[in-house]
Amino acid sequence: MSQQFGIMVMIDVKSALKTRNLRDHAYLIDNMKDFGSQNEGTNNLISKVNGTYWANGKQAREEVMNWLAIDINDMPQTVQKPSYYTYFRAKTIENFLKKHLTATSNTEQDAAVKGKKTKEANTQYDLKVSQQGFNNVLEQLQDITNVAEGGLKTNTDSTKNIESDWPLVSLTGQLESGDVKAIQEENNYINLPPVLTNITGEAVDLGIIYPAEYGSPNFITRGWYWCATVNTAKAGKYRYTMHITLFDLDVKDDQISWKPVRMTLDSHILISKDAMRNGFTGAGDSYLPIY
Amino acid sequence: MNEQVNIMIMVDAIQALIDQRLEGNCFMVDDSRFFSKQKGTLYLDTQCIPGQLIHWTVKAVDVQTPVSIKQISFEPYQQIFNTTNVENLDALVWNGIVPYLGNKQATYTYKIVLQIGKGKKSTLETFTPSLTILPPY
Repeated sequence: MSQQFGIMVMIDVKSALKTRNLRDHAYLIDNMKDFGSQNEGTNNLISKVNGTYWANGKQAREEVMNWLAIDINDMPQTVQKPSYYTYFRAKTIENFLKKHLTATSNTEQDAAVKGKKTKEANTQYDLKVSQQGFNNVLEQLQDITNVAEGGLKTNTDSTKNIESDWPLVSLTGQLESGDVKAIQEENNYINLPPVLTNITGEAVDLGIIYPAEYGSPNFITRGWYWCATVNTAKAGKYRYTMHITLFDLDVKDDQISWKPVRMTLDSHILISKDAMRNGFTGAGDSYLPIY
Repeated sequence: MNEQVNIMIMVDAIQALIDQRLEGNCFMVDDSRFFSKQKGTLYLDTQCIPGQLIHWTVKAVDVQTPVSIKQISFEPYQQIFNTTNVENLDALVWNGIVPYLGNKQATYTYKIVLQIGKGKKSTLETFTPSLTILPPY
């Protein structure tokens, strides 16, 4: 079986937003050049898939395709990750709960106070401490939720501006501070990354590819990316449409928000057709060549 | 009981290309019910009986790397079909029925050639795996 296919959709987001034209500012690259993909690195990529079918016409093998959209002047996305991942690694659930739920005050003063009180008071005291521990746990969990919610929430129908927790970053990777209006005028900021929101078109309508969104560790898109299985039994060239949302900086009363700009981009897959045959005989199944 | 025997070859494609050999980067397992030997190595000795269908498949450990079976041959027996010029190796299915060869147990080593990507040094081979044909009763 051959490898899973990847298609990177590189977008010059600033130019695309300025001209409201995605097609002229997109560059598509896939890893199927060996199989015969054409026009790598252009907006007219034709991805080649080697299709196979059995003697009865049924599909023999399945291929899997993955799409990722990136901005040409995107920051390396890994810089976002460490704090988030090490957080989970450093604190296993067990250690985490142990620390907070069995929390009793260890200071000498507290111990002295505790020792003098009645049994009932001690119970009250323990309850209070564990309640505190419980609140700590809730607080920490809320932190985790906040981090996990940091990705971009968007869909094809959304026209509402979104607000991002991420700070503005200049084109040289420095954190921006100061007058937002000026920054916007100087155009010295990195846009939010483009997000692929849907895949439609001829190839989907005809049942050539079956796209769906899958979970992944891709932080930017809230852990989702687009993927499709390919019906390799139908040879031919098919068009599909990628729905991509770009984000334009919108400043109102010094408040930053990002205006989603929905655009589409067409691409093609080319499926060839080969009959399955036995590797030993070149035709049908037979005895192994031992005699 | 002539159930199919599946032999799966798993390859760490990138390391195999770097090392230019399959040994240590290639792992073979099967589901024979006759207790095959050396499972998980390139020295897999598949135990089978005449009449069983043997089916070889290859998988790359990293799903983004391309690996296909280019050839399986039982030397010195002659190849019936020459796969050298086959364009789409994914269109080959590697299976065959174990022949009846009398009432003796016999072991046959075979050669596997794997195609990893394309180019000059992309085909790697091994002569170590074998089939042991048990007496049919």
